[in-house]
Amino acid sequence: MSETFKQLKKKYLQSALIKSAALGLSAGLLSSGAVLLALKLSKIAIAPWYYVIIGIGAALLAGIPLFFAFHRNDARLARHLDGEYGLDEKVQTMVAYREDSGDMIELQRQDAAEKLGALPKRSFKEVCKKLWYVITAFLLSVAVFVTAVALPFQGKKTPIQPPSPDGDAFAITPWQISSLEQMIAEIEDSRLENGLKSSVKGVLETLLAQLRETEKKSVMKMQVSAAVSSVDAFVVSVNSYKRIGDAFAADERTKQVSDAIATGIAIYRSLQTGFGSINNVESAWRDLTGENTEELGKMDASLAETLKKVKESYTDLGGDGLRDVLGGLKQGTEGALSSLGEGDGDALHGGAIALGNALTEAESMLETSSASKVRARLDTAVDAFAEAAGDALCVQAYNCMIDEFVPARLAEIFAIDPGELPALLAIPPRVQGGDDPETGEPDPGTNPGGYGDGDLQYGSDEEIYDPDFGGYIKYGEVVDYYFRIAQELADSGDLTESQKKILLEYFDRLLGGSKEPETEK
Amino acid sequence: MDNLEKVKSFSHSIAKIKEELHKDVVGQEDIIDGVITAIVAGGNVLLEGVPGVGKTRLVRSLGRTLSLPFSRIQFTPDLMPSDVTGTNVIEKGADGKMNTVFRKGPIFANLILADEINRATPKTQAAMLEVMQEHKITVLNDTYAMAEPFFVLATENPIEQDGTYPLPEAQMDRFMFKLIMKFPGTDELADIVNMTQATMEENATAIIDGKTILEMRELAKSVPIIDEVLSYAVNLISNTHPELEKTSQTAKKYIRYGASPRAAQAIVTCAKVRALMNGNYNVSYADIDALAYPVLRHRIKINYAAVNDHLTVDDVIGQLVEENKKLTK
Repeated sequence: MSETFKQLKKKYLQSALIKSAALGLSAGLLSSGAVLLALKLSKIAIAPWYYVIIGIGAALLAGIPLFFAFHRNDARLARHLDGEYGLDEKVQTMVAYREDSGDMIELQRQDAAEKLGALPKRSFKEVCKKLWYVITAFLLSVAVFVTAVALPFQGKKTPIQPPSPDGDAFAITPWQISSLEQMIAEIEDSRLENGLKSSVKGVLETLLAQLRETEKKSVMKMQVSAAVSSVDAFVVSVNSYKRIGDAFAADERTKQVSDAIATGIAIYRSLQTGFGSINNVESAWRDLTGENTEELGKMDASLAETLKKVKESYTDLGGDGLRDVLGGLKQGTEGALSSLGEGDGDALHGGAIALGNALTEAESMLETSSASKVRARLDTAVDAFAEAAGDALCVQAYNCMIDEFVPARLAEIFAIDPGELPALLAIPPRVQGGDDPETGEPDPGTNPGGYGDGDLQYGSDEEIYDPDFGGYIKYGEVVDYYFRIAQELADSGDLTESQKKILLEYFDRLLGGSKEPETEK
Repeated sequence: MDNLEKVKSFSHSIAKIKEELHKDVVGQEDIIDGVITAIVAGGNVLLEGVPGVGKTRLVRSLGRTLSLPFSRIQFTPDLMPSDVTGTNVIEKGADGKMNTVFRKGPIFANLILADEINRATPKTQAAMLEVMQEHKITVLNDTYAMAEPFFVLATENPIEQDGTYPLPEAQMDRFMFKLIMKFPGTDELADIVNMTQATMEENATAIIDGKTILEMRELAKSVPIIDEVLSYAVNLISNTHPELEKTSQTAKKYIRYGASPRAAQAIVTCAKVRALMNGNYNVSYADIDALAYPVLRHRIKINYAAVNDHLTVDDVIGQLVEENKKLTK
């Protein structure tokens, strides 16, 4: 093969490399420059290494295929030379017949080599004219890149993110409206007694009306929290188990009665993993009452078990022993009833009154009847109390389940962390020794309220999540704020007088606080 | 002389031949090139031209330049085949006995000018064309070979159509080229007048001999042609056929029937000669394009559509060449 052709081949290879590298570099500079310019004009900043990657990627994507496009094998180069310089297929013939021999072939080869050797050298001007597109592309890419780099960044340097929407914006959705309406309907269909039902419905209807106008998520959470607290306050005012239980617990001799009440009311919490749906509430009710079953309801079973201890305290006793136990029970009961005053007239209070009367009657029988008769009378009184307490506690347990249902459901509807909602004061702690059916951990107990450190009394030292604060704080530190909201609600005219009274009394108790009972914990 | 020298002297010889011919023939460069190409390639030429343009003078000068015996046959309707080929005659021998002797006809020469071949009857044309194709004749079971190189330049007069017998296409195909001798331009005509005023004598002298022509013919065969150029030539011929599935648009539109495979052989053979004549040692696309006209103009038949569009055969060939360039290159 002609040395001249080999030299030309090398020269064209170099040319292909240079052109493809130049165009690849141009593509890289143009791409990264264009992206930088666009982002700067959009006031978006990204890490510099992105531009490097874009530039390198574009350079390779452009440069490699271009090299193969520019690069010519022998036949292509020969064809190019013949066409470029008008050599009448001499070079192509020389390349095609390079392996052949013969006089004519040899002459042709020499002729082609001579013609190649005589090719005029291109001047710099001619080369530039030929490579105008490479030069133009390079200059253009450099111009774009330099412009992009030189342009000052005018926006705030933030990571490339779409503009974030207003995080606190809120607009109630149709689904939320229908869910809340559904919730109100479920309350309407529930077993709550009319007064409490009306109160809870009123709170939820007021909440719905407020939320239609609410535009901020933080306000929505406050309104939901206020609604939860209101419902909780209504349940606290209606349920008497705590007051009556505390009253019986004040005297050691009637502590077993208190324990029976506490255990009985808390039994419902072990029947379901949560009360986020009305179905769970109803299912727990059925288990609690034994409704539609031939089995003893859980409540009655629990009371029977726990009040057995009362019976055991006087079993096989007679004479002075029986008198002492009976006297202790009577005095303790009288003391409890005395502290309760007239009460609300609810069934549990009525049961306690009946127990007191029965104990008085039994005491009077000590002089005239046998010990067994007295014990029998006592058993009757205890059983009567168990029956009365069972019915009453079932109703109050139902109220507690609704009290748990309301925040759980509202949290679900409005995507609120349940921890951000107020702690419920109406619900009892789990039965001592009972584990959380969800986590399996022991129930730490719910503070009933009124605890504090030293002279400083908080409504509760439980912690709740404050969205404005952005963390958990002691309930007592925000109860004033919640009270202000409650006052606004009370002043808004959306509540009835009785609802307003209950609400304000609730906060009155919270704000007043009380010492931790010695018997608890 | 070794082959290298022969190759190097080829174009020199051709140049010298042209120079000599121009002593007797004014202008007509294409015709001279065509005739020389055909002779070297071993083919025959059909020359079309009006009377007086120098057809006979060209062939005669060519014969002198190539040191080859020349013969002119004027074809007329009453010309018999034996008038061309020769015939047996009875002669009295030296011994007084009557013997049959073959008298060679005018065909027995190296260079033949068959003037107005289309005036002869088909029978006489056939006799002429047989010798053109096979370079031998058969007379009464005796075969006589023609001396090589054997070259026939036949003429057709385009003016007189009455009393003519147009050559059939199959016989036209035996001519390597068809050249059209045009009326000279005014300058050339002036030169002709001036030259012939001075003398009517032909001044061309012998440059090479027939043996050299044969050597040049063999030499030309060794000129290399790359596959791309060969394909180009083959495609050009193939694209003259409108009946083929893959053919040119020109053929589909303007050609009734296309060229035979002889056209492909002719174009490649002559391209090699042309390359050498031009001092090149390989066949190029330009050689093929240049030879398309003389090779194809008598081998393809244009249709009425071409006539309707006022296109000549050469116009159609021009379109074929352009289309072939686009399709192949």
